[in-house]
Amino acid sequence: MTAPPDDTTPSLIDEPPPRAVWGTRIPDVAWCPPEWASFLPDVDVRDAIDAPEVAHRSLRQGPWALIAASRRGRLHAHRGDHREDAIAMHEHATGWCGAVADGAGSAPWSRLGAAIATQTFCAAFVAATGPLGPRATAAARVSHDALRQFAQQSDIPLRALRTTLLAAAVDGNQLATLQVGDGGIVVVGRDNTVTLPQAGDAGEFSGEVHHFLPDDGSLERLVASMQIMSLASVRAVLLVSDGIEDPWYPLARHAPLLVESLEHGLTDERAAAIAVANGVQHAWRGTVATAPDPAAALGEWMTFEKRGENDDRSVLFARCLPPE
Amino acid sequence: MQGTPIESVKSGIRQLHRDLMGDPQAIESAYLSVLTFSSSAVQLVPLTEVAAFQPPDLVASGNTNFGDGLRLLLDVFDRELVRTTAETKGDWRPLVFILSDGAPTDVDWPMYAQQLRERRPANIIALACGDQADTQALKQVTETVIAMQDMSPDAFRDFFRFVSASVKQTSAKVGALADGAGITLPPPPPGITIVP
Repeated sequence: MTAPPDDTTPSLIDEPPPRAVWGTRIPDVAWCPPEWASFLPDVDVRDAIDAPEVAHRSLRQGPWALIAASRRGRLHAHRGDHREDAIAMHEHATGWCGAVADGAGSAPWSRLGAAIATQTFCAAFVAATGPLGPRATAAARVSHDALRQFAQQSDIPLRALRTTLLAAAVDGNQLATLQVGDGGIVVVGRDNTVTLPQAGDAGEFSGEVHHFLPDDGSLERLVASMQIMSLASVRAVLLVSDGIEDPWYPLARHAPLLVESLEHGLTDERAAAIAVANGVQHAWRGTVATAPDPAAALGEWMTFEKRGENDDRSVLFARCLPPE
Repeated sequence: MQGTPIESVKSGIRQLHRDLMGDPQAIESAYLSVLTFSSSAVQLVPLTEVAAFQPPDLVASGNTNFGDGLRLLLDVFDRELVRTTAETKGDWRPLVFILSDGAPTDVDWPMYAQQLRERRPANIIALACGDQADTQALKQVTETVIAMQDMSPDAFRDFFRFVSASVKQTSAKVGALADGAGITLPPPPPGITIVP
């Protein structure tokens, strides 16, 4: 017979810290107030309404295979809040346009801001004609103006819609990338080197960002960030919101491992290497790029855990595939 | 601060700890530290993750060496906070609650108050407790000064609930302080007024 435990006896075994217990609640407020719905005529709300936990989509355009996914973070799920990230992608005759946005947690309608910013940018880009740079600039202006118009119509302050915007657009043999706010854009070369064409916009402390759409000056900041490069040496582009960037920080160092895990799978060995490199714990095992439904697999890949990293997560991954 | 109020603050810290232990985000990301200042300033608990935090005992004293308290606060910021660099993701900007029921008894405090205002290393909320607190001195440290005339245990309990709600709410993406877009706090409880 075992003696009952004595509360006064100190344990000789170090107890692990208590594990956070996370719940999941469905938001009890509408994603968009009904009276504002008519102000969103060009915004597809299916991601927000039909896929509140994880939205994903895919696209093929010429040699390019695009997948994107956006997953509600554990903190929003626990509190019954909507996902505030958004993704969008469109094709056109000679390329594609994709965007990722992360609505500011302190802005009450940032989920609408993120959706408006991504969708209007992509739609405006593919509708425009002319050289890549001016098209991307025009799309940025349309996106910025759409946010301001929505704020005016719904009678809310501009800062209520605050959102980041990361965008990439391909036309022929050129790639343009733009960014305002945090998160990261990664360009993967054919020699597998990675570059980050935009500097992040993080502040001195976590969660602080200097520029959001549609603040004054943010359009200029977005346009000024534009980088245009030849696609001759590019084989993939990755756009990630800060829900991915933070656990993989610094992205400049960890992006090769991130891209490798998406393209070549999460073997036990690779998952262990990732855990050692940055503390990210992947429970899901698989290869996103070769999964039967790569976009859905990307949504599963994003279920990784890292202590304290519970934000919404969004990824857009575009690969230029070799000829079959 | 002494007598019932100091006991209420001790109870409030225990309540804050219990409350944060029930919040998964706080368990994973919040750290607590307790500093006191009377004849001199002491850091009773260094920045400690919530799960390992042990509420300290507080000893009452009559002096208010405000300057030493502010000096120690600046020192703790330099020693224990992690700023974002190209290699390291920084901490959340700390949330500091200063509780005082008296007027400074030292002469150096304006110098440290000015440093805090200029460097803005934290979101600071000062609570003036009772009618002897020097709200103008607190205003030299932070624009956010609130006053609580009632120093009953119930009033402190409500205040620490406000502290807990503030900690939970402030771990959200915000504009940088330099852009005039700092945190938004929950509304203070009844009985606590904002000092203009």
